[in-house]
Amino acid sequence: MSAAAEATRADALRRDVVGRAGDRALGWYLFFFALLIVASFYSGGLFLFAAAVVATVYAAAAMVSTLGIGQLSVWRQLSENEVELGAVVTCRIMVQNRKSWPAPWLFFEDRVDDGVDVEGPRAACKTLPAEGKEHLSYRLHTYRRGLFRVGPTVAEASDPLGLVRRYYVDPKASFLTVLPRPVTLGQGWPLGHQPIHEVPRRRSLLEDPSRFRGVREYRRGDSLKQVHWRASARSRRLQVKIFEPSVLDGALLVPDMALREDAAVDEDAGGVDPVEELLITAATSVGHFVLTGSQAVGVLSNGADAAERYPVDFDGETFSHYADVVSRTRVDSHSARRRPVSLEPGKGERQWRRLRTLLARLTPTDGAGVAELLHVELPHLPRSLVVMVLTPRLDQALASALGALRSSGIESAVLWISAGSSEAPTARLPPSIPLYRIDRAADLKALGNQRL
Amino acid sequence: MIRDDAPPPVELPDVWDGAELEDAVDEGPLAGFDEIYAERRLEPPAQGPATGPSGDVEDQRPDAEPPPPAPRRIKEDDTESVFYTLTAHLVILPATIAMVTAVLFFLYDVRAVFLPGAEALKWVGFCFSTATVLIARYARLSISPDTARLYTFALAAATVFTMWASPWDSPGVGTLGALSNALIIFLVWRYATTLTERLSADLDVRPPPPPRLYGLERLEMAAAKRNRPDDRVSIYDIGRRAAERRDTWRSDGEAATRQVVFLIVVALVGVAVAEPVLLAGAPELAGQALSSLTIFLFAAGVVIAAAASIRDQQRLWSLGGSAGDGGLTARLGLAALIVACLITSALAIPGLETPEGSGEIVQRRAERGTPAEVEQESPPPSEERVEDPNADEPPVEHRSQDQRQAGPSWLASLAALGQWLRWPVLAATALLLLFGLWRLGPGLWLGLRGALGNLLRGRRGSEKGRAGPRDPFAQLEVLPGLEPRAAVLASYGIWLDACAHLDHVRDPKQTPLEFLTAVPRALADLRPVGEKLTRLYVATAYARREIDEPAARAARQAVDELQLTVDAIKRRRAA
Repeated sequence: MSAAAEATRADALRRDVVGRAGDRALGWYLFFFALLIVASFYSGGLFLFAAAVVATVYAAAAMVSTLGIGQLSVWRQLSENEVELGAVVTCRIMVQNRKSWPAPWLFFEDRVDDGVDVEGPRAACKTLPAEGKEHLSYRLHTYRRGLFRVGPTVAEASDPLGLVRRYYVDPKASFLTVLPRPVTLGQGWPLGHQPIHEVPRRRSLLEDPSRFRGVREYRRGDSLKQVHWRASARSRRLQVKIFEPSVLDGALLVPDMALREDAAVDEDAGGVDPVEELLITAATSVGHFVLTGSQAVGVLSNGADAAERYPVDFDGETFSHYADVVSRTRVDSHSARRRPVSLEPGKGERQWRRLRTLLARLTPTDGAGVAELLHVELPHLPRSLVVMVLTPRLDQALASALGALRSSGIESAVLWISAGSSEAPTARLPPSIPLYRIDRAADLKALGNQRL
Repeated sequence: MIRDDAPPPVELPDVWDGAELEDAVDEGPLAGFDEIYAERRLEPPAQGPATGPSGDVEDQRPDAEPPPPAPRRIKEDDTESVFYTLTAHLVILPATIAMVTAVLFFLYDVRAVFLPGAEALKWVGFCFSTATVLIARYARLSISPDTARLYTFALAAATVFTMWASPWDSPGVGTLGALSNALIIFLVWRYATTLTERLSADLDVRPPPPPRLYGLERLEMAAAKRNRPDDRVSIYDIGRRAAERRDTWRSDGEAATRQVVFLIVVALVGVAVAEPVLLAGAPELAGQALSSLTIFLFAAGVVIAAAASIRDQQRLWSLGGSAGDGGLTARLGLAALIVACLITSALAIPGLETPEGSGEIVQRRAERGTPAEVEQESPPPSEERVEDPNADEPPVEHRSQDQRQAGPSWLASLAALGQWLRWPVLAATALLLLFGLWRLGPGLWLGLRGALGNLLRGRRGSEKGRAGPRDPFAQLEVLPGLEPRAAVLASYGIWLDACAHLDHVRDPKQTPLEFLTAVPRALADLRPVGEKLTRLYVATAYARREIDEPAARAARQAVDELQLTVDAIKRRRAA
């Protein structure tokens, strides 16, 4: 069963449990209310005395809590929205009580996703006077790439006894993108050299009409479109134009982000899958390497954008139970979307920023495999780019997909993220497709000493 | 094929104390990028992080506001505050003992309606309840639960034996009295241990200590620790376990408070049940029960307020914050004051004056009892009894109002004080409620209506849930009678229901094609027919042209095929 279906089932189950708990609570309320009515008839003072005290305390507590939770505003500021792995971000929040009466014992906390360390207080318990404000400041230490939500702020109002609590979830949340850190490739390369060959391909189905090479005599099968009429007139024999084959002008990175059943999360490394992180690091490094050579880089991946894990269209709500707050602010573990993540090929600094942002937010999904993705997207793949597949799995399906690419005239290469695995690939790639094995980050540096 | 990625949700421009920030960083990741980087050559990446873990990002921004003061790092010792120590050991514990003792005294007042000798037994029971609470409380800290149960059992046996022997009463309490004592001791033990354990869930589950290192420094330290074989537990493990505990701990704390409130409600229900019996007993019993009830209510209020304060403080610690002892102490003091004022005022509310027993049961038993029993129930004929000034007091029905004023003197003083307090307290409460109704009037009404509606809907929903999943093919016969477009749409609905029937539920965010590709391998047989229905649905739902009958026919055929496939899958699962 897919993760989305599991999440939906879990939600349905939780709703059912909450509904049944509500039923039980309603039953208890009705029981105690009936008991109160019956006991009041027979009470000579003892029970009425206790009931009067308890009811007054509860009503006053409920009123204080409800009055305290309304009309709150929260402002949050992050010093950076995009940082490189290892950077520190300062977050400041301000909570304002916009009421004309105080908000007593207001407990508010800023919720922060797992994946960043929080240094400093992100919660406070204060009585905010009318129109009063409270500031908080804390630091976020990043130790893994990804998209992390900072917020929303959850405020909780209570009474002196802490008997009744009301929760308010602010609608605003900030997002912090932690960019992957690339490994520098191609150290010491002379200027002018480029990572992807800018020479005619040895075997190309396509020719570049902008690269005119000359003319030759007409042969059977040549298209009439290729006839050079002026040269034919001069030589009195049919001549056809010939062009240089099209050249490669960059790389299309295809990171395989399908969920792996054998994925082992390294908790000591921050709860990340080391293979997945090495794959992203490799994609970032190769992307940077190619962009540095003034060549184009694009991305096509079967992963998902981490932003889709977060709930949308939330306007802020007030809750009576903390479990509802947790449910409302919950982040899905995996995205339910099945749309390929892609980035148009481009060059320059802008493309580098977009590439890093995209790779930072790329998360695994249980959707289509990379072979299926290549089959589906084959008609749309640009032929001027090398399709560089970065995958931890080399199976027969991928080999056949790469063979299909090759037959279509698309150059391709494979970066096998073996991550130290001693297992051999389960499929043999077509001989003309280069295979680069990446065990660790140091292999990436070695990769930069050769043309790709 | 190539599409732009969607930028992350971008915040609205923030204001900070009313002024727009100069260094606001709320723009999207690419806003203004072209102007800045148009002519700039791509630089190779830095070898290290742009800002190290020890650096401050504010330092990179010359035009930024002065950096805020560095967040205070919470020391682990901060979690041992004076407030926690005093409240946990000197407030909650005595208040819990007071609650349990009040319950015990109340039970003995009920017992005294039928059996004599309650006064001395109360103090034996007081010792028992005190020891029980202490054992239950400190068993979690230093001794095992089995040892604690052993101690409690020994204590209960000694207490019951002492009560049975009753060396202070010459005739003894008899078998019925011993049984009632044992029952009371059991009830009090159960109540005391449950209450103390629930409260301990608030007190003992300490928040995780904040880490001493953050970010990459923490990971590097964990890696260094891994290389040392003598350190079995990495820092990250500690932090991770602490984070896991934090979530469960908070919900556990709320559940513990609810259970404490539930135990208080149980005690009050016991009061409601036992009150008719008490009011039929001796006149002074009702007053004594009222004093027990007063102490119970006050102690319960203090316990709830103290536990809530401690839990708030612990939550603050777990989130890196800190709560001043002064504020929490003031909150606890205010809570105690409010409860005391309400109790005092309630003692003086007209109609709720101090109750008194009618003595019916005592008289009835005296009338029909044998001389020996009456003698046993009457006080012993000692010299003190002869010299007792109340020895020649008139019968109950002939006593004056002052003579019938039962209960200890402090209760009478409290009731007198309540005469002064009741109107201000009543006025303050009424004002608070009126203010709340005025400010929250429409919202409160809507909220109540919504809550009631939710409860009723939840009830209906749960009834549906109990009825089991809906049969996707229950209304198959209506398909041929539908318009072509409606038939295709209904067919797709049957496809969704069939998948849900087989535990593959569509996420609301999924498009039809995404849902189709997410069909699990276990339901791979459904994919061909699902593809037909999905393509028909997509072509129909978003079509501008009229849908013709062949499409509806194809949909109906697909539904028939779907039914066969679902039946086959169910048979396979059953096998």
